[in-house]
Amino acid sequence: MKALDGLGLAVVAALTVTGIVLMSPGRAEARTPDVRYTLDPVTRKDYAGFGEEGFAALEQALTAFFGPHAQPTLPDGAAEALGLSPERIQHGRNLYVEKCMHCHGMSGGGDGPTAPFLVPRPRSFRMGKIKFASTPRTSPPVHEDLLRVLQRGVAYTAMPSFVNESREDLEALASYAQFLLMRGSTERLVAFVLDDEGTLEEELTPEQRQQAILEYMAEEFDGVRQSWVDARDQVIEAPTPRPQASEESVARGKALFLDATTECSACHGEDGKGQGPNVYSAEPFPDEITGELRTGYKKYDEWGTELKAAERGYEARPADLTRGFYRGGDRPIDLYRRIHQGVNGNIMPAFGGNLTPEQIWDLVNYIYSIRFLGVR
Amino acid sequence: MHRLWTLLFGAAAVFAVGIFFWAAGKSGYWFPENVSVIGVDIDHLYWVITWITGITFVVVMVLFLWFLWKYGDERRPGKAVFTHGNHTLETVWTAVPAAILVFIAVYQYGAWKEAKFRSHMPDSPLHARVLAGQFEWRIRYPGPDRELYTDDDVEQVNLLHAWKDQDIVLQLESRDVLHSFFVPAARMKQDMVPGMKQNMWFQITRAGEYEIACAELCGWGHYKMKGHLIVHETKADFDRWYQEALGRQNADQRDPSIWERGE
Repeated sequence: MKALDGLGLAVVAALTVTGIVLMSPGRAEARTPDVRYTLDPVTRKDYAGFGEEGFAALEQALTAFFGPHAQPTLPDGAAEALGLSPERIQHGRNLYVEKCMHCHGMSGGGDGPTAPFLVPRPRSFRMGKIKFASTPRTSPPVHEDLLRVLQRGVAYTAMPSFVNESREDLEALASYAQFLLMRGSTERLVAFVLDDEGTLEEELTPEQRQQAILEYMAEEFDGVRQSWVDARDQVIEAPTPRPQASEESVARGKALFLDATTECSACHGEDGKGQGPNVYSAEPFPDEITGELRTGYKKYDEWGTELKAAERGYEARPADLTRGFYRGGDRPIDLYRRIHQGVNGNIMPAFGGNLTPEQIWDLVNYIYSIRFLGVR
Repeated sequence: MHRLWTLLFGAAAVFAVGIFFWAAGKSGYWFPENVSVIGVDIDHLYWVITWITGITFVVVMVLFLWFLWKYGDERRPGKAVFTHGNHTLETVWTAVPAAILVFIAVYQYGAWKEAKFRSHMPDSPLHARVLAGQFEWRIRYPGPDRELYTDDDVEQVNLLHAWKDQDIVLQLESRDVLHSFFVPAARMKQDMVPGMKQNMWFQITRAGEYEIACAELCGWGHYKMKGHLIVHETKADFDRWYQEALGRQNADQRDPSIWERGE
C-alpha cells in the first residue's frame, strides 16, 4: 500500500509539472527559430536537375534576399512602393503563423496539415496569384482584394471570414499575403532563369554561385515589384453603371449565356448548375493527369495541374449559379470583373475582350435572375 | 501516509470552492453581464441550481473527507466492517434528489416556455436567417420586402445587426454538421441540426456589441467560429446601417469602402 501511495503522488506531481511547463509562456517563441521557408515543390519537380546542392543554394539565396521566416522582408523598398510597412509585414507573419498556417502552410504553399482534407484546397501563394482579384488576370491582385477576402471569407469553402479581427491585424495579414505572393513569383522566375542559363551546372565557388543567384533574383524581383505597383492602376472598372434588370436585358443575357460563342453554358450548364458537358461527365473519361478512367469533374485548376495532383480539391468546379452565392463576391461589380477577367488560375476565361460592357451587364442581370432558383 | 490523501482531496475541494468565490470577485462568475429580457429568468434559475448543487457539494465533501480522515488512520486497530446497507438511509437519499429534480422541472417551466415554445414566439417578422457552416455564420436579412432570397437581402458573415428592445426572431440552419448558436450575453443557445429549420428569439435591452459563439464541437475550427451581435440604439440606426450595407452590396463601380464593419 505504501508503494501505491508513493506512485500515486508521483503521478500527480508529474502531471502538475508537465501542465505548468506546457502552459508557461515563451515556449512557442522558443520553437519558431527552426521554422524556415521551404522550396516550392513545383520547383523541385520541374527542375530536378538542380540537385540537392542546387536547391540548397537557391533556398539560401531566397533567405538572404527575403529574410528568414522569423523576419520576412520585402527588399529594395518594395514594401514602401506598395504602401506596406515592414512592421506590418512582420506583424502579419506573426498572425499568419497563428491563424493561417494550418491550412495555407508555413511557406504559404497551401499545404498546411489541414489542406488535404479541404475541397477546394487552400490557396497556395507560390504562383503569385489568387483566384478572385479585381485586376486583369495577367496582373497580380491589389491590397484591397486581399482585404476583401479576409473580411468576407470565400463563401462555402473552408476560408472563413476574419471580419471581427482588428483593422490593424487585417492590414497586416493582407500585407504578409502580398509578401508571400511576391516571394513565390520571384522563386519561380529565378528557378526558370537558373535552368535556362545553366548557372547551377557551371564551375563556381559557393560564393560566386550565391552571388550569381542573387543577381538574377534582384533582376526578377524588380519585374515582380513593378507588376505589383502597376496593378494598382489596372483595377477593372465598369465604364457604365449596371442597367435596370429589365426583361429585355435579362433575355439578352440569357441568349448570351446559351450562345455557342461565349460557351457559358458549356461549363456552367444550361441550367446554370455548374455541370456543363465541357467540365463534367457521368460517363467514364481518361483523367487529364493520370490517364485513368474516372467520372466527375474533368479538369483541374492551375495549382492542381502544376503539382500534377489528380486529387480532390484541385478540380475546376464551375460555379453553381443557382445557389445564391458566388465565391468571388456577390456585388454586381464582382460579377462584372469575373466575367471580364475570368477566374485567375482556373479555366473560367476572360470575356472582357469579346463582350462589350453592356453585354457583360446583360449577363450579370441574367445571372442574378437565376441566382436563388436552387435555394428558394 | 493514507491521511495524505485526505489532505489532497480536501485541498482539491477547497481549491474548487475557492476558485468559485475568487471568480465572483474577479469577473462576476465569468459571465458576461446579462442584457436580454429572458436572461433575468435564466440567471435566476442558474442561481437556484447553483445553491442546490453548491450546498450538496459542500455536505458531500465534508462527509467524504471526514470518512477518509477517520478510516485512513493506519494506527486504527482491527479490520474494516462491512454492512449490508440501511433502508431508511437509501430511501432518504433517493427521495430527496427526486424531489429536488421534480421541483427544478416544475420551477423552470415558465422560463423554458417563454424562451423555447413555438407558441410563445413573438409575432414579428423574421429578422435574419443564420446559416452555420464550418466555421462561420452567414447572416442574411430578408430586407424591406421581408422575403428571403430577393434582391434587397443583405448577407454578411459573422456580423448580426439588430436594435435595442427589438423582438429578434432568427431562423437557424446548418449547412454541414451540428452547430449551436450561442449568445452568452443574452443567455440564449440553440443547437442547429443539418436539414432542420429552427427558430430562436430574444430581446436585447442595451445597445452594444456582444459575442456570438458556437457551442457545439463542430470540427477543428470550432474554437474560432465566432461572430458579433451588434445592437443599435434605435431602429432608425439599424435602417441606416442596412441601407449602407445594401448600397455596398449593390456596388457596380469601385467600392467606396472595403471595410465591412463600416468606417
